[in-house]
Order: sequence, then C-alpha cells, then structure tokens
Amino acid sequence: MAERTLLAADRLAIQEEALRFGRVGLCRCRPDGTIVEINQAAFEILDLAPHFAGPDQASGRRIRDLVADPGSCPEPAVLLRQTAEERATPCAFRTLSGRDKWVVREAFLVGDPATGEEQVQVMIRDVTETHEREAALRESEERLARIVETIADGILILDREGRFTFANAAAERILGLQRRAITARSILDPAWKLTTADGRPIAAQELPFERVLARNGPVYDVRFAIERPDGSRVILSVNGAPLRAADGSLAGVVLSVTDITERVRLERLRDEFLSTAAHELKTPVATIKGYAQLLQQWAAGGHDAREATALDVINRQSDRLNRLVQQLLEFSRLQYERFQLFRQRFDLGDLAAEVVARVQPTAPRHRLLLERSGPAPVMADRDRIDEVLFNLLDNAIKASPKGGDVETRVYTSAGEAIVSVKDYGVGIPAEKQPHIFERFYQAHAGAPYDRGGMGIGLYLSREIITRHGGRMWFQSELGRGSTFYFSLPLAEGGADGHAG
Amino acid sequence: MATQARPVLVVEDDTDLLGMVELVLQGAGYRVVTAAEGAEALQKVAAEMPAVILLDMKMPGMDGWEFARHFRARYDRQAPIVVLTAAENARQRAEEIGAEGYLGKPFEIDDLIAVVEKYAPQRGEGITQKSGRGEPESAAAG
Repeated sequence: MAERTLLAADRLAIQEEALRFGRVGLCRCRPDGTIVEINQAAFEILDLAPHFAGPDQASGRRIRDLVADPGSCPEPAVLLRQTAEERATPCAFRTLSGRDKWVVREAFLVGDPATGEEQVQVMIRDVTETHEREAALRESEERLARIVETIADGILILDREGRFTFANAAAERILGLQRRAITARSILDPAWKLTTADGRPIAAQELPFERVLARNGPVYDVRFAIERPDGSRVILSVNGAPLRAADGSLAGVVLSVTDITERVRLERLRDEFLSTAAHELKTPVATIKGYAQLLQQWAAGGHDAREATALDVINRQSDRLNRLVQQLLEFSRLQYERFQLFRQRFDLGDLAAEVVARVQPTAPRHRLLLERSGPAPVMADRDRIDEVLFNLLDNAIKASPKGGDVETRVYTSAGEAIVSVKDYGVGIPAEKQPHIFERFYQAHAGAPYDRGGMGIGLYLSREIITRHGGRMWFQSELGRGSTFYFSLPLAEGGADGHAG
Repeated sequence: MATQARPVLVVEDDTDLLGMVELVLQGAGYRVVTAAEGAEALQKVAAEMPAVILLDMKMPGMDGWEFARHFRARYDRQAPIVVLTAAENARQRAEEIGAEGYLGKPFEIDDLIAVVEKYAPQRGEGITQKSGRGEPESAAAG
C-alpha cells in the first residue's frame, strides 16, 4: 500500500480539501505521535475543553494520551497504511471525559513548513451522530426482519403487477413452497388452484390483492383456499394493505396470511356438536311433553283436579325446559358468530297477536292487551322475532307478580315497525338499568319474586333485533313498571316479497 | 269406504317419541306406518305410498336429508314431507330439503294433528295432490 504523500507546499491543498470535507479536525504530529499542531475542530472532537485551556496547550502531548483508551489510537505510521476501506470505516474511541465517539481518520505524510522534518497530518471527522443513526436503523431493520421471520403468519409482498417479491418463513410453511418457488409465481398463477373456503370457484376481483388495488386501502379477513404442491388444501384468512413509495404512489401490496384450516374444521365440528346437542336435548323434552298431553286427553273427565294440574305442570315445564335449551344453543351460536337469520315477510302485528294468544293462558292473573295501528310488514326471521316477543311478554309477567295489565302495541314510525310491551310491575332500579342487556345479568336476582333464569333472555333478544338492523330499548321506573321497545325496518312495499 | 286410506309415515329413530307420535295420530283416526331411519322408510314407501311423511332429520343410518333426496328422485312429490326437527331453525331445515312443512320439537299434539290434517285431510281416503310448490309454511308456533 503506497503511502499518500503531500509536500509542505501542498498544505493549501489539504486545507482546501479539509474545508470541502466539512468540519474537519486537523492534527499534525511527529512519527512518534507527539502533537505539533492541533486545530480547534480536532480539539473539540477529542473533547479536550475540560482538560486544556485551548489547542495550543495540547501541543507536545502524544495523541494517544489525549484519549481514555489509548489502544483505539494507532501510531501515525499505521494510519498512513490504511486501506481506502479502513479510511471510510468509523472507529470508536472514548474521550478523557468518558464519552464514546465515532470518527473516520485519514493521514498524509507532510514536511514541517519550518524545519522540513517529516511529519504526519491526521484528519479526523466526527461521525458519531450519523453512525448512531445508522446503527439504530440497522438495529430496527434487524428487529423487523427477526419479527417477520418469527411470526406464525405468512408475510408476502407483491409488486403492482401481482408478482411476489418477498415471502417470510411462515409463508413458505403455509403455502408449502420455497421462497424461490413463491417468487416465481404471480398471484394469478393457475397452480395456486384458488377456490372459496368451501371449494367453489373464486373470481380474481375477490382476492385480497385485487381488492387492495381496487379500494386503494386495506382489506381484512378475506377467506379463500389454495392447493399446496403436495395436493393438500389450506384455507387462508388474508389481510392486505397497499405499500407506498416515498412519493406516495402505489409500490405494491403486503399480505399477511393465516392458515385457518384447523379453525374452520373446529368450527364445523362445533356446529355439528350444537345441532347434535339440540337434537339430543329436545327429543326427550318432546317425548315427555307429548305423553303428558296424551294423558290429559285420555283422561279428560276421568282425572281428578290434582292429576290434571300435575299433567299441566309437566307440559308447561317441558316448554320452559325447551326454551332454556333453545336459548343456550342460540347463545352458543352468537358467541361463535354462527348465527344465521332466515328471513321471510310477515306482519309484525299478526305475530304479536299470535304470541299474546299463546302466552295469555299461562298467565291467569294478567290481562294481555294488544293494540295494533295498521299493517307492519317486516322481512325478518319469524321464529326469532317470536322468541323476542315471548321473552318480553314473559319478562313483563314476571316483573308484575301481583298481576295486572301487560300492554303490547304494534305501530309504525319513520320506516320502522315498532313493538312496545308495557307492564305496571316492579320496575328496574336506576343503578341496574345500564346493565340490563348484559350477558348473564339478572336484574331481579335476590328479589322475592325472582324466578331464576339464566340472564341471557334480554341479551339474546337485543342481539336478534340488532342483527335484523333494528334497535331495542326500554324505559323503566321503580315501582311503576317498565316498557320495552324494539324496532325492525319495514319491509319494502310490493307483493313479491315472499319467504326468503 | 271401498279403498283404504293412505297411511301417515313417521320416520323417527327415538322409539319413545315415535310411539308417542303414533298414539297421537292413531287417536286422531290415522293409520300410521313407522320407520326408524331413511332406508327403512324407503322400503315402507315402496310398499305403500303414504299420504304424508313426517321426517326426523338426524337419524343413524340414512338421515333425513338423504332420505328426502332419494324420495324426491324416485317419487317426486307423490307425498308431502313434513320435517320433524329439533333444530333451532326448523324452517331452514325444511327449506334445505324442499319440504312442504315443518314441525319443531317439542310440539303441541294439537299442532301435530293439524299439520297432518293439512296434508292428509281425508283420513279415510287417499289425499288429493296439493298444488303447493314446496314452500315451507308455518305449521306450528313456539
């Protein structure tokens, strides 16, 4: 390595270069490292102010005595032999005050302007700030890379044309392909054998990549299935978001991919279990109820009053047990978001009349009144709305243990059909009112008229109404009674709105 | 009557429930044929076309869905099917197999008689085919 040699006459050139270089520390020393001259910038870079009055006082010292860790300070001869790469590489040192700094150094052989003695001109530049910024950036990039490689979700990056440009380890595992194989495919490659989660064909515009492009924004939980090279099918849930270049233009799309094959399988198992449970629990109830009614029929006139009452109780309690089973099942479905509505067109007033007529015989101390003002056609799940009405009437009856009127009104207002059920019973204390629709909440727990229950009736009712696009609310005053309301959107007019 | 009335076919795997339904319908004057699952039900149908079929859905052996498919393929709508189900949404079950009616379990025995009466109005005669298009209708409340 040739030493870079400048003559004393070239000092102007050095200074010129130094100026161009930025804020450069200059330190001229003898071959043994003794300082002949040090400028203000070098004095500051070495952080000498706490120890010397000024640069002149530092002259005559050896450079390595002006730092806390002499080992970091090579002899001038070593500096002269630095390669270009070494000259550009930041070196760490610690100042006498204990601060860690990063510098780049260059050295030239010069002649002393006065004596012509051979000396070394060292130039140092403080790169601590840049170095720390770059180190932080590298650390952050490293951290992100580790995260991306460690997470269980597949991460894929596509360019604007739909070509894969990046895939993490999880993506390899989920897709069953090496990175190279992934990046060799486009999103629309037929080899993916894309279908919907239940195996039907899927259109390109339903895929997350196309949807991100179409809306120029993120999409979430797009579900579809692909085939792996080994022939197994994987159901994926994919989130996607646009990637933007510095100027804000679209650079590509990032996708995060979760393998939900197992989850979907468990969901199906759970659905099967729920419907099996429904069958297993309701069949005995149906049998008990049926035989109780048969006994009532056969012995009509032949039973004494006690027997008739007993059979009536068996029948009613069977109904109650059935409702509890039904509520539990629906509650489970709601928790798992497996709740489907089966809509048909019907008149809400007709249904209310039906439910009122059905409930009245079970509440001999109450008078159930119904007021209807005009038709109230809705497009709704009739059985579910039946449950809601039953539940509100049942609550109204329970809440007025001394008997009395329960008034049901069905009317329309501003595009909605509205039902109100009013009782003149115990009412709900103000402090309990905010919790009335919460799961497992029992407003009357502990009260003398408390008849138990699971605390899911009103929660379920409101969920059912909300999922129809309606609302449920109430007014209540302690000791005066409560009125519960719900609304459903009125069905579109026209004759052709039959069962859906 | 010169001709014997077509029976009501009840397909249900729970013996006690089946016995109860049989008693109710016999009490209402119907002749009842029973089967514990779909394959047996198809044999009963082959022997004699019922006036109406009360069909449980979940059964060991051939279930209600499969029975309905076989029945429709062979006999189209020669007998209406009324789904007898414990499913939370009985109407949905009925629609799945294109049944004429449904009855959710548990049911009032009056509703059971009513739904059979609707599709087999003449207890002593064969039924006249309904012009119904297979739309499930509300047969029972609650």
